[in-house]
Amino acid sequence: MNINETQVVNDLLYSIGQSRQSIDKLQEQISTGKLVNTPSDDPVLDERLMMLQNQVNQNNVYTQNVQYASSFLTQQSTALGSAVNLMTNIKTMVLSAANDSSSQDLQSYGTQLDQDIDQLLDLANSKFGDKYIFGGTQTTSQPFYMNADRTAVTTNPDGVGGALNLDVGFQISDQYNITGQEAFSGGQMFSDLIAIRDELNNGTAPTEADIQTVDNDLDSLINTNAKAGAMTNRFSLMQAQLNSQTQSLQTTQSNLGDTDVAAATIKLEEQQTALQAALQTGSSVVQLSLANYLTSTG
Amino acid sequence: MTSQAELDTTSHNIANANTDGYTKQKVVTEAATPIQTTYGFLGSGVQIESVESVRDAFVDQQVTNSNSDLSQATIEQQTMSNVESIFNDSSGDGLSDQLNALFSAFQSLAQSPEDSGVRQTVMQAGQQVATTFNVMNNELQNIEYQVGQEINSDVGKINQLSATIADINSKILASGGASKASPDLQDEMDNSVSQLSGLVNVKVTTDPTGVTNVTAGGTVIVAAGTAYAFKATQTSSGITVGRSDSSQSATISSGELSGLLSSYNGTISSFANQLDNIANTLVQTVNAFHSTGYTLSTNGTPAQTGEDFFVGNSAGSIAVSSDIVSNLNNIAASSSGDPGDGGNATAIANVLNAPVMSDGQSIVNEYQGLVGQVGIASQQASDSVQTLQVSQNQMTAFQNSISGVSLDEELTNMIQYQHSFEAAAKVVTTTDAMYETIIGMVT
Repeated sequence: MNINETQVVNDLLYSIGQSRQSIDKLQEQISTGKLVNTPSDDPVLDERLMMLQNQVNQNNVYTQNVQYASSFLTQQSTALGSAVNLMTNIKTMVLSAANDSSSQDLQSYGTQLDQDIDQLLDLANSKFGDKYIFGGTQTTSQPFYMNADRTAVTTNPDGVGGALNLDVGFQISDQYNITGQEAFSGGQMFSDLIAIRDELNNGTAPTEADIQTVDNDLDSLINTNAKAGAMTNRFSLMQAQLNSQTQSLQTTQSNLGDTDVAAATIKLEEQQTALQAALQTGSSVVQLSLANYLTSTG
Repeated sequence: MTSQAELDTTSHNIANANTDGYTKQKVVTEAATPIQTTYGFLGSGVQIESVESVRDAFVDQQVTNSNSDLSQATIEQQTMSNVESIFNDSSGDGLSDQLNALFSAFQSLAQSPEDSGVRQTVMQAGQQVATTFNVMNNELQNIEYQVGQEINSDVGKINQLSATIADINSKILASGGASKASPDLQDEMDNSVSQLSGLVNVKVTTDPTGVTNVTAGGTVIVAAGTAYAFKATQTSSGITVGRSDSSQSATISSGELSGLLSSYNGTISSFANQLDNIANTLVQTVNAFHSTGYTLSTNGTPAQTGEDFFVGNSAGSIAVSSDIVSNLNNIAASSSGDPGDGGNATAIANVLNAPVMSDGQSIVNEYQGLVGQVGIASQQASDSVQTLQVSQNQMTAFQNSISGVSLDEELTNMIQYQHSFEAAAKVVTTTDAMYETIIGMVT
């Protein structure tokens, strides 16, 4: 085939263009650290990377949910722990009162118990942020309040038994609250104590049945507290699982989508050498012409 | 005389070595008619038969075809790379991330449905998704509009070129046929045809009178000295191109115009439709859950159902409902009416990852699939540009080797012509000397 100057120049420009393109691509991959910078770089890999990113995002959301649930439960555990202590004190006091026959002593026990009821009420109305933690799903209204005449504690008529749920995995929902229904037997606990207080104030010593009631209430509190602890543990375990999942997802993401800088740098140098060679040979080939060897004969 | 003409042509070739579309010319010589003498035929030297372009019609047609294909692929690649930049989620702020953010926001709402700050985040995440859809739709429409403009400008160029070709035809006819007309006129014709072939698939036939007739997309656009103009017509299904004096449209199968038409009528509208479909499904499914959930009760207003979160039915019209924007308590997070219940927020969040599309994909996956499609289309477009570029390079190289000017060859010819001129001159001087000798003998 006959090769003329125009062809030599065309070929040279084409190969220089190709070299420059590969250098540009490698440069982009190194500077961004990512193999895929536009979908067309590798559509299949791009889609896989987006799906992985999806999963990472979802896992992050679930991790946040689990963390929130843990904090909420810790708050409930603290309140329930205090309630257990308080109820233990009340039990000791009721036991002492049962062995006391002085009506004056009994009345002072009554005053003491009245204060304890207020304290227990405070614990039952504890908040996490703006939420009443023992209000079930009625988090914005106070779950238990003392009537003005202090004869009874009213429970929120909308109920305190609603379960709070959060997603902790793909379409896995889990309850993360101890309801006021469970923790304080829906307000019955307060009625029990108010009845004993009224007896004490009337100078009547607590009966065997009263002691049994207080004992049952204490057991119930201890049980719910243990349940809160077990739930907290479960959420901690979930968090650890989610973290390790996220980590392995991110490792896959990085393995698939990150530029192998060492390899890319070596390729870049290869391309640069090729470009230099093309430029150098090009500049010398283009100068070659028969005209250089014709001496003007005038 | 003949050597003079040959040197002239050589110098013409060298001068045009870098002219686009120039075809090497060569002087065709033949032995002059011999003179009959008493002792037989005596050669009477050389005469010029013609100056003609060195070309191979087959190779020329191949170049014309590959030109059409390459132009089509190039324009499709340019359009696709524009479209791709709209769907580029690799940067981390695309629709895919916005949808994920909406999912996160609804999940946070499930944590604290009574918190107005979280409600604000949900509303904003919703607006962000809607705005991203709107912007993508706008940009697609912009590209579509630009492609439409380019179609009109290509049709204009085609009309101009067909007029030029018809004009050259008239000149060739006027000068009495192809063999009499200047080879440069033929080059000008080739140039126009080559430009035309970049725009549209053309079939070129040259009849014995030297006239070039051109058919584009199966429709005659140049017949001898007459050119027939094309025009672009907007229809409900896209743009069609045909002769302005006919209602029938031409079958444009390659060239830049074909690339533009297929982008306008096919690729862009198909991506736009898919985006609309995703936006519409998002509105429908989110609302389906949202409207069954309960709003947050505030002093005086009880919790109620029936609120929509999104309005609109396409990527261009999707927006967060004005009821939500004006009152954040209208976000229906609760599935029971209780303020602390975030069950419905969880349900709405999950619908984003649930298989709600007609092909069993989730909204997020469907969108990512669309990005994948755009990526593949763009990758294919640039791959075919690469392939066609290589084949076009090969064709051009072949054409160049036949019709291109090689300076070395011309210089070699020049030396050859110079020598033959010198030799001829030598014959003349020798003859002259002989005559002189004879004349000297007489005197």
